[in-house]
Amino acid sequence: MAGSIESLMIINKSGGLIYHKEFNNDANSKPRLSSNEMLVFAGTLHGAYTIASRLKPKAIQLKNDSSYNINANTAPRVPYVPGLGVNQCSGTTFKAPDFFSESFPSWNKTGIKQIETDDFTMYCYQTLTGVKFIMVTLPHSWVNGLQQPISVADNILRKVYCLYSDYVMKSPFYSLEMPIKNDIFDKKLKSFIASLQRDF
Amino acid sequence: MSNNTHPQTANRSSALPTVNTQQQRLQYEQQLRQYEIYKKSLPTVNTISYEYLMNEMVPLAISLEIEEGQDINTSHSTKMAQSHQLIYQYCKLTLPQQQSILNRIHQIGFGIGSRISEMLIFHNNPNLNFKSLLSSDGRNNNNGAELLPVMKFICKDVWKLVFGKQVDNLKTNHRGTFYLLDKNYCLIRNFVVEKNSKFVEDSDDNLERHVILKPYLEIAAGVIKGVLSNLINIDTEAMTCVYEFVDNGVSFNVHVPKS
Amino acid sequence: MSNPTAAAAVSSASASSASFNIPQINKPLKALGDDIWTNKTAKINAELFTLTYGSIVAQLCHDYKRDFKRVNEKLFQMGYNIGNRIIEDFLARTALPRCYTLETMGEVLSKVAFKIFLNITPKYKISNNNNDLILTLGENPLSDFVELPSDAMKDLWYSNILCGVLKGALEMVQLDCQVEFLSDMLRGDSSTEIRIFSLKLLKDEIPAGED
Repeated sequence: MAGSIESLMIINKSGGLIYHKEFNNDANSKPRLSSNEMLVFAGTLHGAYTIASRLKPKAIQLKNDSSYNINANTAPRVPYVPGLGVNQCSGTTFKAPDFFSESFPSWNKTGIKQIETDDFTMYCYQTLTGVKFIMVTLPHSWVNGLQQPISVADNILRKVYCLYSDYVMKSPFYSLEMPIKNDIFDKKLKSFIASLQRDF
Repeated sequence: MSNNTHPQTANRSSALPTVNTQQQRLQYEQQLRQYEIYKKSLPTVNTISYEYLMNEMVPLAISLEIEEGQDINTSHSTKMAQSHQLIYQYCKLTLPQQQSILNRIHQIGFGIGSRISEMLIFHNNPNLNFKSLLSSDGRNNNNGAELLPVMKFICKDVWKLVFGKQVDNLKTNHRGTFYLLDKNYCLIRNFVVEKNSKFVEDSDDNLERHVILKPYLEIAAGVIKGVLSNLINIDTEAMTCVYEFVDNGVSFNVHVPKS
Repeated sequence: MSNPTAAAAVSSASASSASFNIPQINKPLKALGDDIWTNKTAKINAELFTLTYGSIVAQLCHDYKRDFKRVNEKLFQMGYNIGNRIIEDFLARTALPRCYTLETMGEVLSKVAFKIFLNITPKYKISNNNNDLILTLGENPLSDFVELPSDAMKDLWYSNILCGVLKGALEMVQLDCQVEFLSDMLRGDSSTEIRIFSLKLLKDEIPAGED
């Protein structure tokens, strides 16, 4: 799957698309969606995500009402998947070899994590501050031997979040919540994605 | 970063205490090792904390300037203004206002520079030749021979500490002017001025970029002058430090007049 | 829509990994903070940090003609802007879950946040009927070796930038609060204390999907 990342999006906490990059696409070829379609898509996804989080089955609601919710730290953890873009953090303020090296709790508990079609799979990682990192890949059934595509996706997207915190947030010229036009972030992201293609 | 960074000037050793004999060399190398060990033992904080502090210095200076032109009671607008908005406002200010902002930042840099030199001396840095630097018995000792080691000290130790790397190239005309070239000046290394953003209307992106980055270069100019004023017995006002973008980086041009 | 088999895979994996629950949070948080500080953090000389901050405060005092109340405000504002951004760094590095109790919050701030950014672990206590969180700073890299001039002793909160950072960062995780210094050893007090109070979780702003 890692080798088949088609595109990446960042959606701010109000549902605005602030970043979109397509990979595996010729520089000259037309983008699959127009920028306007992209904006609509991001907003729609944000809305669907919000509403979907309320579709919780009764049984789980009951469970939440008792101990589960209060003790929020019992949330499922995402296992650390080693080897994804290792050494990509040199030059960042993260000390090599890897951005992180342990399992971590998911902040995305009731929202959409994955959307599957016959042609592609989309993964969503949301941060505590409400930023969504979205990744579109080939359908994961195409990739043999991958046990937990969601975990792999969460690992990859958390690393994108690390790059975002390091390169986007630290630029004093960046306006929070606004579209990201940052060629250094572009470059870092591209080489991160490229390293995934290479390693898998 | 690397040691082969001062090609034009006299060989490296002139920055160091005179190394004549094998014994002196060994002694110097041992001092250097001890100094490295000592440096590692000093308390540290996260680089990010420092980077954010450095970044915020500029919007701070800009907001001070904007407030100055306003009544205290009406200055709420800048109180809650976000840093990036302030930075883009810089381009819209008048030249005297911009200059006044640069002066403020220069002062902060100057403060850092003068204190950092004390700190590095206190740390017993073997690259500092005390005798030639600090024979400040009131006589002027700012002829080129003494100035050069100080400039080298700035390029190596000061730059490494404050900006995380050494200056890439130091040149001098031997008449009191020094050119410090930094190919990857750390404060602006990861800065991206957003092209065609609503703040930057100027068609010449490069020009705009240079104006808006100036305050971040002024910090270094302040540091340079701060160190010089601390180590060399000369009127600070008489020294100049200007900077310009060159093809392969930023060049800081320091002039120290002979008295 | 969402893929049931993959979800099952995740939950079975999480069952096997160590669960992360509050009663035993003590050790993991300290270990987490220490690990990130030791192994994942680029560091710079603390004295450089101190004197950089000192130069900034000195310039502010000069510009505001020693009106220290305004200096405090400005330092707070500066911190607020940093907090808004540095929180993303903190979350990306730690991936910690939301804190639902003051106790956990104190622990996270002390053992993880202060640890990884400033390499200090302030003591924390909960006071005022479980409403306030008080952080007691033993060391403070902002003010090491600093001495306040006598005219600043009464009004200047030298490290007020910290309050701003806390406010700015907590706001981004939907926690409204006020932050202030209660005392500062620089002013001759016996300790340096920061109070976080009027805490309010802005439930409506919590991103959907988090629960």
